[in-house]
Amino acid sequence: MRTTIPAEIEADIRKAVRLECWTIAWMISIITLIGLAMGSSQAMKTAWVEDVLSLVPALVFLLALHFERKPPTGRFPYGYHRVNSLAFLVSAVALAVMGALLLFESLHSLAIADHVTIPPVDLFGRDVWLGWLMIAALAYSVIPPMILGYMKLPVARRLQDKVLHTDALMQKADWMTGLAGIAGILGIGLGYWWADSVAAGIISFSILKDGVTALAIAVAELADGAPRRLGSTRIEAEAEALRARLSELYPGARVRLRESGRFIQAQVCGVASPGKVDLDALWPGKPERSWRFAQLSFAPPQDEKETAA
Amino acid sequence: MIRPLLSIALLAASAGCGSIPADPDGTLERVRAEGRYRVGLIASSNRPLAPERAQALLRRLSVATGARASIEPGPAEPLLARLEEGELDLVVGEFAEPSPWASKVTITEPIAANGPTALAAAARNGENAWIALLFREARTVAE
Repeated sequence: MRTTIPAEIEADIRKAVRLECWTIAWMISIITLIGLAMGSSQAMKTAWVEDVLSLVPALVFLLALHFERKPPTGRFPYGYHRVNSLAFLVSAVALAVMGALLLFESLHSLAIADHVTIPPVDLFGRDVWLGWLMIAALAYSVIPPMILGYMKLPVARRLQDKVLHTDALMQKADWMTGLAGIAGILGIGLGYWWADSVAAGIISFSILKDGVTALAIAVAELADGAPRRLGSTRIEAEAEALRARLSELYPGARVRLRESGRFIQAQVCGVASPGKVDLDALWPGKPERSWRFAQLSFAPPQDEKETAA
Repeated sequence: MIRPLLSIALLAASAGCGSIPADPDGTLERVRAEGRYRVGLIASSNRPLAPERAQALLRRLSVATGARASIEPGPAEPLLARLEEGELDLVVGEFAEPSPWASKVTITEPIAANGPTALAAAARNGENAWIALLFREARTVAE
């Protein structure tokens, strides 16, 4: 049984850590800037809360990785692979809450017909409409998450890291919210009081959908469901192929697969252990991803119920 | 998803920056067209705070818009409620700082202050072109 991080993915793990550290640094600068430009605008306050919320996946990714590197102990005999699953659940909740918050906020503003005031401010002795400063702050807030999110996706796929993948979705939510904010403020500038809320409302659906999908996958993983694809509730192709391979090798046995963090664990029920097994040789997918197959266990036939099930 | 947002942005850009911000209910345009704006003047105590500055603000607004002020004195709450409903364009008078009305109407920075009381002007939320003019003139009068 593999219990720590395999050497094959160490380089990608280091890359992911670098990307997450950059994310935290950029997000803190964005949070500060939006905080300075938000004025009394509720929309900007919501954008600010979301920016704070979007730090969650990056932080829990680093925290989970810290644990994942630890060897099993007497108190945690299976090691810490599942901390990644737990971090995924936390990130999924953050993403779903962000979408729900945005949707609620925009519907509420529309319902009470909130006419947003954006006053002029005194900037170095000149009157400047605060809307232009908000747009500048939002434009700044759009660029880093766009680039970081784009860079994270391939790494998340190689590492099969759902926390990093959710974080990439969070970055997408960030830059989309930023663009919606810019459109909304321009709309308000043109005299359409509802523009900000409508723009945010449109975006919130897509964020909420990503968040709820991630939540469904995280729950499936913690409830020992079969491994799911990244960003989808459908069962993963590699896992399907592995199940088919094991069923072919052990005819009549029941093969069960589950996911523990980024790793797959398989159990063959109704067959006594054949002794030493080469997990890499059994892996049906690309050899560079065979590290995912972390554990194969055998449950010998016990009673009628077990073999019949 | 992105396309509707981009089209709003393009629409805004093509509308030209000169007309931004604009009023959703067209207050500034109406004031200019009708040559009149409706002012609620909050009734003060025996020693009103800097009445000359309140007068100066109205004079400057009249010059900027080419409209005259139609003044209606009264107690603060009914005037502010009518401002919120759009029956008045402006309320001038003494406000607490911070004012509990600050989320319902838009209040300028103080034109004059005396402890927790400030002379200021309030406009209806969201009328951003009118508010921009009001803020600019209030700031000039305060200086």
